Amino acid sequence: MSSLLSSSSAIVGVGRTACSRNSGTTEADLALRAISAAIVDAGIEATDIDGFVPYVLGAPSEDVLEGLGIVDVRMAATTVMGGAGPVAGLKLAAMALAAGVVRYVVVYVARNGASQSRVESRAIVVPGKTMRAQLERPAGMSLPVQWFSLMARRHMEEYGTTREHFGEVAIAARAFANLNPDAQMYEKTMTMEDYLNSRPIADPYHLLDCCLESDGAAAVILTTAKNAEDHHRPVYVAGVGEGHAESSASFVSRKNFFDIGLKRAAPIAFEMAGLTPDDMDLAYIYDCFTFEVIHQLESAGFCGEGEGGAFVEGGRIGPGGALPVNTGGGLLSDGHLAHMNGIVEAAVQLTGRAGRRQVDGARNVFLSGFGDMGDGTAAVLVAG
Amino acid sequence: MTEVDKSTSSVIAGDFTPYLEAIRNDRISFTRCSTCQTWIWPPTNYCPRCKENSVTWVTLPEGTGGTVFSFIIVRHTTIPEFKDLLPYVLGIVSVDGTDIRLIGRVLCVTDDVAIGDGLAPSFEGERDDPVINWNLARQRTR
Repeated sequence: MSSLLSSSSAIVGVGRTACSRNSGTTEADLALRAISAAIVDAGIEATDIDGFVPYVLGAPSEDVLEGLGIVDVRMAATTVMGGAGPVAGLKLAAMALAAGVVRYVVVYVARNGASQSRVESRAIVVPGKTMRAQLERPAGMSLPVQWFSLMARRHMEEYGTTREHFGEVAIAARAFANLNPDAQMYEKTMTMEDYLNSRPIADPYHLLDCCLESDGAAAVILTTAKNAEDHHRPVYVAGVGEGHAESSASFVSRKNFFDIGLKRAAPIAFEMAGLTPDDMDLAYIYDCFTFEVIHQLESAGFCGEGEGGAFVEGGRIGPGGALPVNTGGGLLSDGHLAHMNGIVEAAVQLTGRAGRRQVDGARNVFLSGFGDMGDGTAAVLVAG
Repeated sequence: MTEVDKSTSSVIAGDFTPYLEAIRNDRISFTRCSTCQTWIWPPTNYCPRCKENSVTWVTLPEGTGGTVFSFIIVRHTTIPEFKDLLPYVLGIVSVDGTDIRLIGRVLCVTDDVAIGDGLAPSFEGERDDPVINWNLARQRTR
């Protein structure tokens, strides 16, 4: 199936701030810094931007328009899919550009997710609020780490996946973060021993299975493939897809317990791009927790269900591995900017600007998004 | 445009009141399609299979138990009234005779629980927020 959207748009500029525990500034200021850097990178004027796709949390477009001197906005839209949002933003941007609604779109996340809005406050913006509040909280469940650890445990039971497999994911992310000066964990190394001995939070998950709470911002600017010809380093959006799980409110009752939207989103993105998982040089997986990398590599078709543990063994997804994953450090070790930092990193790699962590010859990358307990998004980006 | 006829179904989408009321009577109540018998959870008035407003509340037989589908040992909680209970076991419980799984606290020593263990409900209906906890009933052969 050919698609109107396939490679009809491209990322032409990226920008970000460092991730930290405390930015010391406002979310609007973080947004302006990342967007301004992306504008400079794209070599355009701020007023060229007429589309805004902010994240569901953090600084909305209204908070940054004045600071950018932009009045002519033809689309300001947010997808409400939690962590699947930024990759969905690429799709929304591609659609709006293909339809001629906008000329330049900025997709961004700007949050003080560590110093201001902590993880507890996010638990109330997920689907099935009544079920969370009336059934689960009285039973003692209130945190994402608990939902996700229940999934990880079941995978261990069904497929023999081990904490050492989860450790492979954590260590790979940390090794990349140690090569990324913007990463929250840039200066902190991690061994398997560190991983295994970290403080248990919701066993089998320990502290080092969890992503970071972060302050920071990241932004990408997209335009049409035609406009992109005028830019020196376009990264084409070759394929985008979205899918949803069987039930989001009652994820524990899904017939196939490991069913998530990505299972439907990934084939759409690959087919649109005319590429397969085997063609991918790098992958950017929504790593809110360690097992989620294994889970999503399976769901996206990089390996079969139950094979993800073995897939990540032996440093395969780390620096120098066969399929480097989250080369900037991911949510686990770069920071939780809802994977917007992963999108920026993908474009940085595809334009050969990743410095010490550059993967030579990277041409095709896969991106996943995961949010609201089952919403999935996928994108395939290809170097220009 | 077809109007949804709510009169044929007493189930209100997203309303767990009958479930919570059942707990006060030491029972478990779920929603099911009265035509095709498909279990529907969370409650909604429409059966996605039959395309009918055929869903009703069904109270499970007394003595209905469950099985541990997955579990975690909670060692950090943000809920004030649970801090004194740490560490505690939270499980996904497959409720016998249904396709529905619930999140529930398993009242046991943390080392004692395993996937596949049988559970018996312990109804806490006196609370303002009624809840079903679970006791280990039969342990799977280790």
